[in-house]
Amino acid sequence: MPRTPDSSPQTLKVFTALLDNPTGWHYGYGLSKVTGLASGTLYPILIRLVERDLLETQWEPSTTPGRPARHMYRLTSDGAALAATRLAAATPKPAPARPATGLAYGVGR
Amino acid sequence: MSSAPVLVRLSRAVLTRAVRRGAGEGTVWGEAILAELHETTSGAEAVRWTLSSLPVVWRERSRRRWPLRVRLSVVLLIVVAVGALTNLCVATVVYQASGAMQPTFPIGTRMLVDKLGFHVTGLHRGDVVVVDVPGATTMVKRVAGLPGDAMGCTPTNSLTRNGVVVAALGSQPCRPVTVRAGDLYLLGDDLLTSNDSRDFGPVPQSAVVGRVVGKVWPL
Repeated sequence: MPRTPDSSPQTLKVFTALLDNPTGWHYGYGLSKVTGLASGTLYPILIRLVERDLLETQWEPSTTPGRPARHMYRLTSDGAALAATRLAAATPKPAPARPATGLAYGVGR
Repeated sequence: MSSAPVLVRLSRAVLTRAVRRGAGEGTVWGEAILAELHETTSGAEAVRWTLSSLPVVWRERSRRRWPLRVRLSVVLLIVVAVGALTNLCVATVVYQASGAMQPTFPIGTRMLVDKLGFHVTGLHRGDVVVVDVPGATTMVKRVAGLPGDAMGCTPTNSLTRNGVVVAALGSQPCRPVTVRAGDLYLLGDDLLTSNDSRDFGPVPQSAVVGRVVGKVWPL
């Protein structure tokens, strides 16, 4: 388990997919397709996010008879903030260029 | 449904059984996963969805997932209940409100009281006990006389036990008494100010709430 919670590569994939449409509702099947995660990997992540109030859920009643209602997921404001934070932390930063001004600040050099 | 290929029908049957196990409805997440199975577009995909979902569904089913807040509340409730029970029956902390036990336990001392063990070990001379004195209030006193001890008086108004002086200072007139079976003779450590068995006589052992085993505060 990564030391920081919600920072595994799979979770980050889910965050990326959810942030693609942060205010919209997502279906489980769609998320599985976009992230490439199998349902057995995806749903434990979704369950954990819902438990931590990072994701909210809703049922969408089906229009076609015989088809069941579908479960939908949307990032909460806390969830969106955390997702952005985790993704930003995971993105490797580009190597810093030479400082523009002469003053370089650094500790212990 | 009857036109769906074999693999799709088989996957649906397996997953439905796993989610619902014969009951009308499964857990929220089980039903959610089951509903998405309808979105798969091929037999192979349906099989993959079902197989991958089975462990999740089984975990959800066996462990009816209460929300985290509910689980935390239940744990808190249990902790509080156990704590209350312990405080009632096993051990508690008592606040020394009077100066009757000075200098051993000054006013403001918090004392740890054993409510259970003393029933087993019995009470002995020198034990400090918390007592619900009949007709009075709850007090903290030291056991000075056990059943059978003859509490007597000297001409100088000092209290003796079986002939030995135990309380040299007597502000009240000294009253001799032999401690009956089941009673205790109690004295406060601050003999000058303490209101104790010299005033209200021996108290029944059943009035003892607990035995002080130590100081909790100040350390």
